[in-house]
Amino acid sequence: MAIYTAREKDTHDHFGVFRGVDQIEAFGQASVVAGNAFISCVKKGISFSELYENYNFVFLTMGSAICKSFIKLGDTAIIHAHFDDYKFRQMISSGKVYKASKGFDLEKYYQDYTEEQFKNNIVPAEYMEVSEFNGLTGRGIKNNLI
Amino acid sequence: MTREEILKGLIEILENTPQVDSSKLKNVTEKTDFITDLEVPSTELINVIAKAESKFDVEFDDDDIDDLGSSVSGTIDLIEAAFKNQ
Repeated sequence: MAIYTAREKDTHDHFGVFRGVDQIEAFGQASVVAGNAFISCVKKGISFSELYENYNFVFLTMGSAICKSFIKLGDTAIIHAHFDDYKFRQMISSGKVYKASKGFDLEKYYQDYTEEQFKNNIVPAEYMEVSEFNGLTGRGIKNNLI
Repeated sequence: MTREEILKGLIEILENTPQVDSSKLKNVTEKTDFITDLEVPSTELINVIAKAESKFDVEFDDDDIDDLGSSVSGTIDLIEAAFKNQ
């Protein structure tokens, strides 16, 4: 799970809207990029900055994207990403992006959120589903090969 | 296991890979490239290598795959090396 609030620089030049493509980028960074880099750090026993001296983690492709609503400047995107597969520094994720009604206390809500709730995509009534992404694929690639 | 047997096994994996045009598999040799000659998507190539692990009962490290490239000969080298390390 990850939370990101759309800032001015994210919506500049597109009418204050955090577009579907921006949501895909945020979802990819939060899932296959961050998750992949984390696993590589653990496997190699090195820090994030040490890992990035030799590797870059990139978003490559995706299966499907269904955008049902939008996120505006100042709205908070709540990303629920599930890892579908991981092998040889290639990771695949699927999941949903939500936005919560104004004033909803995310910190309080997630204090008691369980793994079971996450696995079953259980979210509060205050959430609105914004988009659904499937088969988003990213990989860790050596810097000298990019 | 000979390199020829490994090649045959790799072709069997490719025959069961939906993204690969089976007509391209008639003339696969060690000089073939998975991506440029067979048009295997680079993301699918990882799955082909993973299936090779299972088929040949060997294990590869992430680091081995980093520098593997996309040649059939390189993959056969990798499998041969894994046999030797068993």
